[in-house]
Amino acid sequence: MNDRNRVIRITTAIAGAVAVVVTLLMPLGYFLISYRHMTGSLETEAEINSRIISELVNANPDMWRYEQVRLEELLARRPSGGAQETRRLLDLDGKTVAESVTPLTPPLLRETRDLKAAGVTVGRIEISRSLFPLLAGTGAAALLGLGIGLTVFVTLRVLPLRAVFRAEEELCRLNEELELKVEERTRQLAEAQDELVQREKLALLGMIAAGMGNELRNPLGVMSNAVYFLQSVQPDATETVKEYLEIIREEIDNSQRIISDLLDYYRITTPRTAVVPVDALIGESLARCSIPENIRLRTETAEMPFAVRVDSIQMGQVLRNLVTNAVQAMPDGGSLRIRARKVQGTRNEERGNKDLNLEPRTSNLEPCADFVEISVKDTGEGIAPENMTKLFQPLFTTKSRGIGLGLAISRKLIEANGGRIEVKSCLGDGTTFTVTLPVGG
Amino acid sequence: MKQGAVSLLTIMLAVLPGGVGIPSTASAETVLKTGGSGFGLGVMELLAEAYEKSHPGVRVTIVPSLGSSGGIKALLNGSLDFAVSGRPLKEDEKSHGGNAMELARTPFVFIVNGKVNKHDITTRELENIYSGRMAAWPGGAPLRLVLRPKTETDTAIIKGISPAMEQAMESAFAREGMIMAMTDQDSASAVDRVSGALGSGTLTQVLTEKRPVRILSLNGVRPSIKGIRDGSYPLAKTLYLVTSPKTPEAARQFIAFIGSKAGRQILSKYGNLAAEAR
Repeated sequence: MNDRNRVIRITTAIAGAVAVVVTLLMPLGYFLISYRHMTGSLETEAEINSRIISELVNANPDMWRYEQVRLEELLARRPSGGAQETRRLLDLDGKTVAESVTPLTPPLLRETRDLKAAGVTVGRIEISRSLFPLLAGTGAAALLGLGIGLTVFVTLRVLPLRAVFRAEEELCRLNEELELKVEERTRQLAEAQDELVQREKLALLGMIAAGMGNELRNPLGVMSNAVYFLQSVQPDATETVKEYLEIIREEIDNSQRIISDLLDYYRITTPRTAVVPVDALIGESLARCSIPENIRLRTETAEMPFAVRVDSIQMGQVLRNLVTNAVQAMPDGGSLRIRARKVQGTRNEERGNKDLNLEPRTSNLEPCADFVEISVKDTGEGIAPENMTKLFQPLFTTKSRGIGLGLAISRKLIEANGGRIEVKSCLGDGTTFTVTLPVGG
Repeated sequence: MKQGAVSLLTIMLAVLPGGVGIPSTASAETVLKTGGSGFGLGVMELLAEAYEKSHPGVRVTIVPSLGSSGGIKALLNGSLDFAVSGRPLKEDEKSHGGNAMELARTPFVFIVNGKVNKHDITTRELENIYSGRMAAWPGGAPLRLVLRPKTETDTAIIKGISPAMEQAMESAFAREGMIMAMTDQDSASAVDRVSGALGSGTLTQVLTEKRPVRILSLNGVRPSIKGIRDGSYPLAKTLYLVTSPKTPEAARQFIAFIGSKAGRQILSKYGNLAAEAR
């Protein structure tokens, strides 16, 4: 604020000084120039008239005083457009010999020249002019100067200050934007750090879980064998016994699947890619899934077979996971559609070849080869908007059973195979997962 | 002026019967001083010469043109013994003791520069010239007008030629570039000096001063004594002699000489119609 006041003070002082100079220069300049012009022309008039009248005097050195009529006629002769003047001829005693009087408003400017006859002064001519028109003009010039001075003052003070204030406001705005960006970056860094910490924790937890899983597999295997043995040796057991044995078996299978997921998430192996026909990939995946009868399955593939370059085992796991999720999303039945098609796509190099952008090509995106898009669409309840961003996070689930690693594992596998996964969902209208993979062959 | 020495002599001359024309026997020189209207000074010089020849003791000094007003003023102030005027006296001049007597009349003439091929001028042409409508002579040569001051008798005479002439004269005074001649002599000199010039003057001045200018006839009438006598030539200036109570006797004798036959002959010879001859 102090700097601002200082700028205002300095600008006001400069503008004021220039305005004062302009205001004073106008009348002063006008007066000096006009006064000089007036005195110059008055001197010229006096000189010319003194010479003309001196000629008359020289013709009659003793009698010139009596030529009053002629002298007055001469004095009355004025240049056209000349200033108002009073002219007098005076003898050596100061007595008026002839005059041509015009009423003049004081103050007066007077010029005198001697009249000479044969080199001897015999009288003088006196010409007077009023300074009033000059002073009136000076007053008008002062008013004009005041107007110009005020204009100069306003221009010199307001415009620079306005520019300074605008620059200041712009600077403030840029500072605010910068602060917001810094805050955003800080927040992103904090999030990244949190994520990193979270990953480290998950990695540690995964290691522990994997270790525990390995350790639990054997007793679960023993328990599974034991159940199998009991079911085999007691074919006549009561229905209640059979039912409980089946429950034990299912829970053992669930436990083994959870352990497998944990191990899969934390021990993803490098993909062994090969060219795999898409329809075969989809068919084999569906063959290993249990699809209830109340769900209508529809597959759409192109007539011309095409392939993808992926690890078939990993991608089969992904497709099974997506189909299983879709089936689970439709407990009361519905429609499941699996569609595969070729698309034109681009690869965003700035993202390290990890993200695909399938939107229309733009100049900053490098054109690349075709991709294969496999979508799995259900007609279930859909996903709540608040859950959309959390879908691919590990350990997030909306199911009563499961630990929420299925989609996280799927994304890791897809990205490891050079593809990506997207989801679109509308509550009450179902969900579509779309997997984009590099074309093979 | 040697006033004291002259007084007795002049009184003696005044009482002598037929004193005019009788050679003076005075040993001391009597100097008479006169002046005034310029147009009469030339003939006055000739009259003075003639008088001085017959009156060796008298010398008449004629001062350069003072104008009628200046001459009368100088007379009433005692600086002249008698004055020559182109106009009658004004009341205030009479009240100061002035006394004017008509001496002669001379045609008022329009004169042109000797190189101008013009011999006659009409009133219509004068109106056109003074109003500015005619700025060149018929041959195409530029016409330069020489004016006299507004207070001069010449200006009044020209204005009186016709109503249109009065307006034309005012127009001439309002125009730039006019030549203004302050005296009769200046006027004649300007016409003589400036190519294409037209001005005014009197017949007696042109004749006595031997001016190389051309006198124009007016509306086909040549300016002459006969013309002003019979009225065929309309323009004339009257020459007056003005005296005051202070006018010395010697001057009165000179004035008497002017009115004599010899004086009238000189006047008549140089373009004047003497008053007594009319």
